[in-house]
Amino acid sequence: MAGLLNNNMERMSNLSLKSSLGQKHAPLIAQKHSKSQLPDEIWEQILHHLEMTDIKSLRLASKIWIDVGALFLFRPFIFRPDRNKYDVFNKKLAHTPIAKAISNIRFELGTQQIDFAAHNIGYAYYHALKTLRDDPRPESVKKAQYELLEEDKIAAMTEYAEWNERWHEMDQTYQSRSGLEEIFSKTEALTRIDISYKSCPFKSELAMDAWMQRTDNYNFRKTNQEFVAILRTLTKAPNKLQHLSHDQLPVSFFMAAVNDIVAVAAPLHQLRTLPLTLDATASPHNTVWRMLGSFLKTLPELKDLRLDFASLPTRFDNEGTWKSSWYLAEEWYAPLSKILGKFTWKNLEAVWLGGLVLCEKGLTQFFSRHAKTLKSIKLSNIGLIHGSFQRVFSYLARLPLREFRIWGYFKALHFANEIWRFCRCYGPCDDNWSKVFTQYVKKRDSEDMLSWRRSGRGRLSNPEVRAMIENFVLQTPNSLGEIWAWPLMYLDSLDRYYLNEHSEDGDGCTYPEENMDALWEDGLTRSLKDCRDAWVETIYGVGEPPIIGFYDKAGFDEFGFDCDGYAKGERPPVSDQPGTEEIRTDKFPVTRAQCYRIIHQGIRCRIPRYSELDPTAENRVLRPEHTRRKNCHVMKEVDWRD
Amino acid sequence: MSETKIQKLTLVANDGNKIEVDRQVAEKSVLIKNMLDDLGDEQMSTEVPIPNVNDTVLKKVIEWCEHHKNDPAAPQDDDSDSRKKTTDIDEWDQKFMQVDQEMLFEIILASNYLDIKPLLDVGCKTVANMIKGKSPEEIRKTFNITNDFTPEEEEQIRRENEWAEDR
Repeated sequence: MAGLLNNNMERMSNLSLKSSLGQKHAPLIAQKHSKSQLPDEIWEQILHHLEMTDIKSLRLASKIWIDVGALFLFRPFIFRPDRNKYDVFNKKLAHTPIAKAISNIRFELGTQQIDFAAHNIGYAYYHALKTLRDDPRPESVKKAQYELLEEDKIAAMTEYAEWNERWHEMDQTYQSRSGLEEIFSKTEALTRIDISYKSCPFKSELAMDAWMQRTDNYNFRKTNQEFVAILRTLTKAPNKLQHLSHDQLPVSFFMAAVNDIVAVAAPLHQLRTLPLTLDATASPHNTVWRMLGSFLKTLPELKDLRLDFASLPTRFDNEGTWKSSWYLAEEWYAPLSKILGKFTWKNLEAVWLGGLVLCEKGLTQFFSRHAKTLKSIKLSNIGLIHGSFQRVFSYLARLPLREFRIWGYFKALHFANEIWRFCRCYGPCDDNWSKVFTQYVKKRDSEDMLSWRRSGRGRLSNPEVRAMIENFVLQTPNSLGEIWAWPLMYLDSLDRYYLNEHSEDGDGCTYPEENMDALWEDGLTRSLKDCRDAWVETIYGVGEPPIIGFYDKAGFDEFGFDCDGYAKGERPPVSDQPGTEEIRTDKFPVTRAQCYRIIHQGIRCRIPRYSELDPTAENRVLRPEHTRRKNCHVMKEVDWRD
Repeated sequence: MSETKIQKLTLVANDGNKIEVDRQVAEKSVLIKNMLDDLGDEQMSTEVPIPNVNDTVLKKVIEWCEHHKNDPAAPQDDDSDSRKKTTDIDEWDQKFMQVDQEMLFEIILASNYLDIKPLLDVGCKTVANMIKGKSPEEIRKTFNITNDFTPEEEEQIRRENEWAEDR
């Protein structure tokens, strides 16, 4: 557009030029409407305002919109495990101008094997039923809601079953470089890669919920291999990648050797934007923080950094597991001074930190090193193991920030009156999730916040407290550099934190900062084997025989269900075997096991390769001799070889 | 410097009609503004020809500029997809754009030529709203065009569309 407008000056400078726009541009609307024509550049502007479905309709309306519409078909070009996009790219696009124009590739690689999907959809279904049960509205309204939920349940099982079949048939891997090399070598304009394990193609709410929930760490190895394959392939391709995002990178990625980390990060040297959401099922091993630091330090051009953690299995309550005890907070402690040293990004303008336990000194020093460039700071779910938020925010109040946002849970563990919980009204969403999925996540987020209030799990801070903090930080100091007085009072804190309470000058401190840092150093020597996220296994997936689940010696899977979907101690008398059991989900209590059974059976009967299986047949159900499952690759260390 | 600035300009449409306009209003056009800045007031004190825009369209564009003369300048770097995707249009602008299709396109072309980005944006959003949610046949009716595909060509486009994910 800029180019087009710049041309105007040239045209205007020659005022005697008897040109008209009509002559300059080839007609796009049929000749008889020649006065109503618009040039391609304008149509491009118009198409920016349209959704993909409209762009597709427009391309089907007339030849005049085929080419301009094509420019929008692959913004971004999306790879999904249930679609053979390798073929589409290599056979249809590779040698066309469209491929050369692709600047943005998205990998939406989240997968769930049948028993995980049944568990997650069942869990969402159970929650929905429970919410409906507790709904204070009249029975007639609830009945209508129940019918809608049942429709959504059918849709979820159908959508998942269809997806599973496509996933199985496509039999694609993103864990090796062979397919990716072709792609990256042809997309000369590539500047942006987004990797998502959350976003999904479903429209049913229960199916979307299944993807929103975390898949524990059974996909960690697969996820890491896919990330490494993408980075390694980039090293072989001419690229000037400026943006890379990942919405669920396992912390085990950072358990590799430092040389490997630095080597795979090599193609990211020019990176400007890095939204990185990590995934952990337990407190990360200290090595993770150190290697994360090594990784980040290889990206000197960063302007925008987001570093946070994916939501926890407790649905959308992503406050970080560190909040429950001092000892957990200690385990989660991430000393920025040890992670980054004195490293400074010369152009860092925006930073978003979330789900981390930091300390005042580390945080303030980090902001201080970037004081000249920082314009935007977002903080969510932050614990301070040492020092106070008041002092951090007072420092920030002296910086000329344009944006400062806080949300989620804040707790100073070393300072008595700094515990706040704010609604996540700024949202946890990734800008690039599909529209339907984003809408669903936002809807769930607000519903969960309501149920949080109703359940009495904990108070929320007054919204004014957040506004006061944000306004305090965004104030303009007077000409002497003085700032307002700290606006909060003790009563603005949700609670008083007594552990480790001592005078402000440090008298009587049980956990001095030096001790914390020494403890942290000790943690580095702890064996990776002690960290459960290091022992990542790969779940069964594509192209495998139709195995319906993995069961331990006692006959139960990871979720505690046996091969017929019964929880421990729940199995009915012999006469009530599957097929004869009447499950009345509109009558309570409904158990999670019942919901799992309904969904598991519902999905199985919709997938031909599963539907005729006898779930009890020995060759269909894996019962490993040990609790560790067969066919799973147990890693002793991160293996990045293809 | 500002004391010597002329306060009125005469714009000359391509059909020779002259329209007197406040400088502040005319400067909503980045093209005219840059020209005034580059050439200086003296050279512009006579008449400014606008060779690509006719009298009717130019008057309409000036009407828009009059109404929006006090609007703050739009941020330069607001180029995000979220902004682009919205098709919300201010109520006054919606009424302003209630013109026949030919005039709508002429306004868009004029705003592009004169480099009046907010007006171009409103025009593009108006056209986008004419397309939103419509089937190919409905789009043809809206723009009064005929189906120029053979069944084979249509099938080919349908296949190409399939490769792209609905978001």
